[in-house]
Amino acid sequence: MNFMQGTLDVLILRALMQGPLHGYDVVAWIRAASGGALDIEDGALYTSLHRMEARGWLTGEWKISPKGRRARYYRLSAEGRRQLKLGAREWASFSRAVGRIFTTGEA
Amino acid sequence: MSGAPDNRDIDAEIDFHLRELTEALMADGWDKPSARAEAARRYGNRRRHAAMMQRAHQSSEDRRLNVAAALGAAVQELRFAVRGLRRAPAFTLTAITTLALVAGANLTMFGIADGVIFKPLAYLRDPSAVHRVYWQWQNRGRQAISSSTQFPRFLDLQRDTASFSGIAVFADRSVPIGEGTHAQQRRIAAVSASYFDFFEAAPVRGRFFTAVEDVIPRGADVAVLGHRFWRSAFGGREVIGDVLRIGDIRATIIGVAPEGFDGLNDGVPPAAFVPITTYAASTGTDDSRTYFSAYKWGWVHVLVRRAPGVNIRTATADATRMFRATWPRIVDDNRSLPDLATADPRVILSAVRTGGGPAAGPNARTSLWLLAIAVIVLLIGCANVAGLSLIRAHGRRRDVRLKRALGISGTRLLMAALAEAAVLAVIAGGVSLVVAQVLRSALAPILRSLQIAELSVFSDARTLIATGVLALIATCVIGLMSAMVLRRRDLAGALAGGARGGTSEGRRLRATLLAAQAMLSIVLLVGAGLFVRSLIAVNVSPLGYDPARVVLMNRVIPPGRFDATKQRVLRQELLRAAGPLPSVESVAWMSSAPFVSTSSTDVFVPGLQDANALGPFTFQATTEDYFRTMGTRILRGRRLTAEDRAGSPEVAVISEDMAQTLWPGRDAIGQCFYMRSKDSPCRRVVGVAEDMVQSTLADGPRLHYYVPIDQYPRAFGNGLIVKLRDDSDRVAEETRLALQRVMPAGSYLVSQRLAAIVASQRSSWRMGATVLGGFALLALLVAGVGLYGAVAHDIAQRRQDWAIRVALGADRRSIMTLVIGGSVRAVLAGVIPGLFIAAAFGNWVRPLLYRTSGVDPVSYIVAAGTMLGVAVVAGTVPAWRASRLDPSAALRSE
Repeated sequence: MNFMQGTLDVLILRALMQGPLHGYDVVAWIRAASGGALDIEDGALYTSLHRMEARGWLTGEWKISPKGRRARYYRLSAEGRRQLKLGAREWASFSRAVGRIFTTGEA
Repeated sequence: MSGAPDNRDIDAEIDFHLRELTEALMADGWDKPSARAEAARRYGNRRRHAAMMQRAHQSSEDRRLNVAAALGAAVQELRFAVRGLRRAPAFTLTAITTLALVAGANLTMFGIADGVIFKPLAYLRDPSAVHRVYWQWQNRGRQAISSSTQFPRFLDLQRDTASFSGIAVFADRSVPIGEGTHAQQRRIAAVSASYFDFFEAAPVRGRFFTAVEDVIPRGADVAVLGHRFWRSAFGGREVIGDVLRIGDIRATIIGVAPEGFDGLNDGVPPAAFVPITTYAASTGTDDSRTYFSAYKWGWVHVLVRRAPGVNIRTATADATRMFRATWPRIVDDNRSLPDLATADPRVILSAVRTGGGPAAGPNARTSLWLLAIAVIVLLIGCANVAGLSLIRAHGRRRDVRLKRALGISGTRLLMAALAEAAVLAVIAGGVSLVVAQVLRSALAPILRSLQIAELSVFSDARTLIATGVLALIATCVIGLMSAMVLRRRDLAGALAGGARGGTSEGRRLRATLLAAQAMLSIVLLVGAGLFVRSLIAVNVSPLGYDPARVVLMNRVIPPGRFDATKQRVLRQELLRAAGPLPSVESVAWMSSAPFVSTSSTDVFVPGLQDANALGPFTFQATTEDYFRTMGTRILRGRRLTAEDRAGSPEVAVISEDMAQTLWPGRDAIGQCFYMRSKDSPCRRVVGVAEDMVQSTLADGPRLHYYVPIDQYPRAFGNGLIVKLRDDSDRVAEETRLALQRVMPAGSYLVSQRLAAIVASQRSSWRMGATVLGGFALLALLVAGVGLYGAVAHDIAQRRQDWAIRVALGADRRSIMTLVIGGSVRAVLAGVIPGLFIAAAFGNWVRPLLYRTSGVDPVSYIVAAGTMLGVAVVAGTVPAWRASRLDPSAALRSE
């Protein structure tokens, strides 16, 4: 669960690297980027967004979307960028380790 | 927008998401209803996620903002409470008065118990490591425990223990200070040089004495003045280098102690500090020659400071080991003590104040008792205020209903109750300081007799802290009592519902509170009754003399310097000088003074095997005007006269009790007995005097006799006993000064009023009766107010019921009876258990009483009667009002 939550956070932070997005765009980007492989309830992503906002990793702001609707946009804070770097590094070392296990296992 | 989003924001965000997704799905070819359903399915449980989003913010808000928010809410509640209380001035005034009185009484008792038992000494360095040494052993099946001991044990501690970084020895003595007619009896402290190291005090003038001035066998003739004495006797002028006569020491003043440095006696601060070795060697007695080597003269107290890292158990074991090792030597000097195995001597390191130690005296025990009683009174007061605020809550039921309708939670109502209690407690706390100060002034004589320092409660940090603690306790007790009710929703509902007086549970609770108050009040009333009965008993019990206007003038003469002839000459000169003084009604010489010093010798009676087994027989060697001076009546025969002189037949006047003990059923007059030994001539009984109290007010034999001092030259006597014409300190002092002129150089007269001596013997009963009586009255008042409030409220609530009764023709008398009967019944529920509890306590306080049983029926009947009387009084006004209700007006009102 912790792992999943942490991973989800990193994915969201990664999505916001492109610039401010509202929740729906974040969900859509993650779904597209992962090729639909992540089966998570959309609500969980919103909880994650709000948790990170409360921690100060993101800032939320109501704006008008291109379609003319009121939407809550999220933007990375400096702390959010730091957390993303940290998370990405952790993820890389984790995936390398797991990758090594599988390559040696095959050999 | 920043900060936590509210519910609407979260809903809007979710709605936006669902709409976007629905549109995207429709763009992919879904029809609208299934696109909506799919969007909702992908989103998951909307309510759960919304709640989690909300909570994500709250948890961080808790960390950052909730302290401020809670403070804000508390301030808000307090403001509401103040507003509410201002709208109910009668309730507020009653509650504050009640709490202030009970808290004031508590503070006063706290001050007494603190002064006797707990308060650390001024200037004492690191008090937690400092102890007074107590000595304990078994003797004839009883445990003896004492803080006074012989000087050599201090030397033993110094030599044979390793656990202490400081050891000091001290003694409290009373000696004449000054020369000739200016000499006055004062307290001094004889202390070792190491004593000053226990305190963080620097002399305001000069210096303290040091180890080189405090040496065996005799230290230097130096003194350090107490600050207060320096101010009063020297006006604070330069005194260093002056010579001051202190007892038999001509001491050079080397320093002045700082203000408030009162050593171990802060009630009666010592006038001066002298080296203990100097004092011990100066007294000129046999003991003073061997004070440092013999375990005979038990007059000193020992203070120790544990060395760093040594715990109390180790230190105690170390000192006990020393005490056991030296026990055989102690037994050598005190043949009455048992051997080591039987005695099992032990050292106890305990409180510096004896009141807090294992050998605590009756004052400490009594003050702890009274403190416990004060706490009971506090609880009564809290119960009362809680009861009153319940009544008030009932009165405000519409207010409560409104609050509940507005969705105000039970927690908020609880907070409101606590806030109200806090406001009341804080205001009452302030007022209670004034009450305590007034009580302290009123109790000043008692405080002085307990040697408690005078202080202002407003500047004493410990009293202020105690006030804060009391306010906190009161807040919690009152707040929680109210909260107990409010927590029960059904009762809160019952309070809120408009049913006329139909709050059965609320009423039951109020009834319980009233009964509890009555019960505690009864216990106090009975206690006060027992002490008042004791005080009356001790006051009316005949002394066998009339102490009014009688002054004892003890002469203090250097030991060994007056032989028998000189003694007799001085006696005759003093009697001759005193007789014609205009202030003197009559005068006599005395060898025994009641409660001060009593002599006794063996007596032998012809025809009686062992008269001394009936004894001890105390005697007074005196002159012819003794009975007139003391006001002691001669029952049969004659008094002593001037004719009863050396050489004339030896005579005695004996007490009634002695007459009946030695010659039961026979006339004692004409009988004879031998005094001291059978070699002396048989002394003829010429008169029988009424029994008189010699050394204790407690019941016991009064075997006492009187002989002419000229016929018993062994006794030099103590001094004069003078009956003055006028009962004032000034006249007594003038008389003393007039007689002082007769005294040879280096000797003094010290005066004491007999009435004061007798009063001090009666003081524990007076203190018990005064303080307990005060508390009982307070409890009664508080309970009465609570009762009145409850009855008046019930009448007001059920006006219609009463009005209907009046309308149906009930007469006033029966209505009054009904209402007052209800008030009495409410109290009766507490009176009966209260009497049983009092009976249980009665046996405990039995040793503190005088000729009064712990279950003295009069005290119990009076207590119960008083309580019921209060119930009648508290019920009368509401009853009168109920009987005068106008039925039509009352029935119209709702």
